[in-house]
Amino acid sequence: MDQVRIINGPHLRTDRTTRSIMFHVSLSLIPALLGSIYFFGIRSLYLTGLSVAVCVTTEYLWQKLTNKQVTAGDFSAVVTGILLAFNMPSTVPVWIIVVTAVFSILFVKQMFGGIGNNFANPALMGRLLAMILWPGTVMQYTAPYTLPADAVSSATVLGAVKNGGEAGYSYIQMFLGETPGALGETSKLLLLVGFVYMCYMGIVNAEAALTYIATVLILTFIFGPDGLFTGDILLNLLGGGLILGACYMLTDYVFISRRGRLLYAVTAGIITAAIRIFSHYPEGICFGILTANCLAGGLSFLYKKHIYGTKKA
Amino acid sequence: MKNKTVKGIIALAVVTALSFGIIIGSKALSTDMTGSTGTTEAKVTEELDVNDVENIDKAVKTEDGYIVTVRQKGYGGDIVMNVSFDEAASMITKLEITEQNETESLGSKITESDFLNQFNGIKAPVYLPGMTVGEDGSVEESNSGTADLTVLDNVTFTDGTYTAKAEPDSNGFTEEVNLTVKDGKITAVNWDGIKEDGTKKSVISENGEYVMTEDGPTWKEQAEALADALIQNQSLTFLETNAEGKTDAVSGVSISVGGFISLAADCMAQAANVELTPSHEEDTDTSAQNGTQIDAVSGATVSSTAVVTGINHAYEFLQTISNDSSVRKSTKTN
Amino acid sequence: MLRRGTSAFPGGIHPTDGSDKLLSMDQSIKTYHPKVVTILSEQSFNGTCELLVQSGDSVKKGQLIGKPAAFGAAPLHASVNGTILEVRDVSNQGREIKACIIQSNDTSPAESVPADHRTQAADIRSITAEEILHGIHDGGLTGMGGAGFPTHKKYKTNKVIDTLLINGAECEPFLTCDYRLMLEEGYALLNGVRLLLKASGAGQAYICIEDNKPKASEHLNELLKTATFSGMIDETENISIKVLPTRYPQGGERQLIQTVLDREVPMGGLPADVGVIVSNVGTAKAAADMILGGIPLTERIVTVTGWVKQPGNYLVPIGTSAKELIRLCGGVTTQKNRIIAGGPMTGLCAASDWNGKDELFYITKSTSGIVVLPDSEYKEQPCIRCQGCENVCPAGLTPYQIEIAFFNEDYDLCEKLYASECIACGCCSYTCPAKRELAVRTRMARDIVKQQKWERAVK
Repeated sequence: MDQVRIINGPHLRTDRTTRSIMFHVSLSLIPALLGSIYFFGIRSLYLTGLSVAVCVTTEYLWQKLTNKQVTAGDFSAVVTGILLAFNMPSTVPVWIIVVTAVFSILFVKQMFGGIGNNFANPALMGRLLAMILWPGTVMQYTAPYTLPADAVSSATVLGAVKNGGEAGYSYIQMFLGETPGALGETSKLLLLVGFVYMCYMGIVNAEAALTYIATVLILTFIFGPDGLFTGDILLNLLGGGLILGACYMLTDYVFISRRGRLLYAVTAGIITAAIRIFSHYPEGICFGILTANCLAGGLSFLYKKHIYGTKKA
Repeated sequence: MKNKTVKGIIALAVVTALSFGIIIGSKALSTDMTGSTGTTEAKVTEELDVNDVENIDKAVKTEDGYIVTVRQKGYGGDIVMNVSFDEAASMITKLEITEQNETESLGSKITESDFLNQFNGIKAPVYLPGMTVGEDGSVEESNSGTADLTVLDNVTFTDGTYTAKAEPDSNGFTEEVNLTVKDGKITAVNWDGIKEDGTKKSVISENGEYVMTEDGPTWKEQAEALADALIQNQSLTFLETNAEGKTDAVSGVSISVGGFISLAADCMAQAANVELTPSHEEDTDTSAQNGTQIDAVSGATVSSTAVVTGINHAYEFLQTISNDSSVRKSTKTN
Repeated sequence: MLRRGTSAFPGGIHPTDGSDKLLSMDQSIKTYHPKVVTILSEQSFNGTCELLVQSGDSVKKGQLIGKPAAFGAAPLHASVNGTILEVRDVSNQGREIKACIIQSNDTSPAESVPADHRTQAADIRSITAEEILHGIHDGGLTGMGGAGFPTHKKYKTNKVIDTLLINGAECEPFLTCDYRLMLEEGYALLNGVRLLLKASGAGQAYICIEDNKPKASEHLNELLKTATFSGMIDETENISIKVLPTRYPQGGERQLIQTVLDREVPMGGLPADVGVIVSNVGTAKAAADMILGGIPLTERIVTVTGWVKQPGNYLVPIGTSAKELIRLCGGVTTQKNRIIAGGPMTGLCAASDWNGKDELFYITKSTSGIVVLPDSEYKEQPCIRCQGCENVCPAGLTPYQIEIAFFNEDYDLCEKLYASECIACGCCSYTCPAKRELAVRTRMARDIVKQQKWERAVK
């Protein structure tokens, strides 16, 4: 192999590596992490750090034990770790983080062949596991402690509205992040800052994320709670984890194909909206994206690629 | 490429800093606007010793009362709550649930404001419909009310229309039962809750503002079902209530029927011209029991009971220390 | 006529920021006469010639020394005046190839090519297409861009040709030999284009130049105008300059046709199937040298660049040693180096960590450059399914899927994934963040699939 590598070109390679891509993704999540420290206290930093450490260690140990190429240093486990912590409330017990992190890396990522071969987004699968096993704990969100202490624990804004309550927070508050919610999802502003950074670095393509958001918003607007065309667009956009999901979970490289990405995003959007409209869960992002993840392979095959030379003259 | 990376990272840092400026700035602005009305944490003046008290994690005396942190076993684990009392340690001013692991969308509803707001400014101890407060602060099922209703069986009613009203409840509804007797039989029963502004529970439950459960019958439908059952039976004894003050005797009825029973019994007593036994009166009269009745979270008896019990523990605890707080104080300073 | 290309091929990359070409862009062509040349009997892939000389023979520049013995071969000529030292197998890029080594007698680097056709538009009215085709064959002309396919085979087609494309795109990074040729040998080039146009029978010719070489396109346009104005170029000779967007692999034959004419060469076909012939600017100039000057293809321009002290463009006889040329440029500037024959994208690596003493390779008719790059170490990482390779593939393939199929030895799947259509441009390997050797494996898969197809056809 080495001989082949030396003799055959191309002899120029792009600077971009898996590591650099994942590093930039991690970097783009830093603003939201700082935001969560500001809103939920220093514990969010500890939780995120722990989650990252467990993810990386699990990956490293698994690859060592199975004699695989060790790729634990490529930052992909770091991204998974951060996203996993971002999906948990700040009050979540430490051991839940540990269990879900090990599950995500081991059972979702490595057992299917490591990076690039996971059948669904590991962080979302981790959250799904936590939602099934400890629903009370991981869906019990804490209000930011920058707020007056009269709302120590509560549902997310979307959850509160879904159960017939008042939003209780202005759209500005929702946009800036001063609402109850999972660690990383509340500050839409900081998430978008990171997302714009990723777009600037050419790491993600904004099309799929925007299509997904648009699909969810249009559908929830049309099939609003009080009849047709009564949905609250801003509430659906800002009230939950839609932006986190769209910008960081949906755009996982493994599932975004050049051909099928719009259809993929629309599928995820339809499922998310359907869950928001018909089911008992206020969010639906987790299920929407995971379902689309599983369908992604099939979706991209619906598109025929043009091969040079097959055009009729 | 390198250049672009450096540029990107710098831009990221700058924009993040700006965003934080906006977040903190908007925060400062909104605090300014709300001004002094913003609720601030009351200043802690003294910590109380809770070392040998079961279930109490922490208790503090503040400038305007007490805050007791209670741990009580719920359905899915411990429920931890902060109970705030007034200076006299008899009035509950606020309840917060800080930790809980109850069933999602059932027991966990104890964290919702509908439930929590009931506790703002009420007299301790508290109990759920159909329960009594025991000596140790725990709530027990009360069975005394049911037995007394037998006096209303096999009596003759005088024709006429009778009305009984209850005290306004925490939501501002004054419950009212109208009972019409004709030819010695109960022919019409109407149960409703009316607010001061004239809002009727039956009306708002119809148009969806007062929702019991998502898909179940509305409050009005349930109230009518109860009334029909009473006309059918001409007696209240068939309505056996359980620990939560609910009944299985009428299908489709899941609301608390305690209030209805006491009011209907009142009307029937008027019609029959008999006295209801005082013990029964005591049960339904809030002042008699020296506490406040609380509406449980529907379908979550254990969770609701745990909260109520926890509050009563806190109350009991404060009663024990209020006698000799100076001693406590000195132990603390040691 | 200066025209901009409108349509373009899909995919493609920008491997460098353009500073690479600046190294040697402004270095005018210098002539170099080596003492000894080593002319390989196999100048290009499948291009073996039977050598007609023995050691001790004395040869003249332009004398026929090898006659074609394989499908892809063109006649071979002595590139210097001198004596054959020996005829033996030499090692060239890991293969033993028969070569004749000639001791040069040329003491002074005297100009031997008649200069007429290099300074003005020549009168070619009396030359027939038949004569041109003969000249192309006898002159041993081959493609000078990289593949080195014999030119006369391209032009001897029974298909109707309507367009001739002269490829001056030079999309490979670092190389500037075609650029210098367009600037300094403009008339020779134009005359060559006219001859090739006549030989092909096409109605129009486009000289295709990427927009990062504005000087070349303007210069040629100027010459074209002057010649047309003075009546030296016939009005029926419809030649124009086409400026193309800079993107690799713009100079790939198929991509060039797609960009300029919006035609696609059918699968398994040749450009002639869509009525097009593509020739390199170097080939056009060689055609003019042969037909108007009588000199066969014995020399070419080579860019020596990259991590060498003094990059430059050299006009050298075929068979010049690459080692001598690098020495001529002052030697390599890095010990951890990699010497590449040709452009950095498609060229082959001749040596890595070269010490400056070992023989490297010998210039052939299709060697466009010697590029010295720092040796970069990278380790293959697992594919992350970013589909970058799919996005840049000009042929529209999915290299990462082909790679998996290749590893599984599922060649039927490779065929279904159109591995046979790989043009070996290397875009996929360039862009892969996991540094996978996609190009190598896709090319291997292509060769196997082609073999399979061929075997099926034989049965």
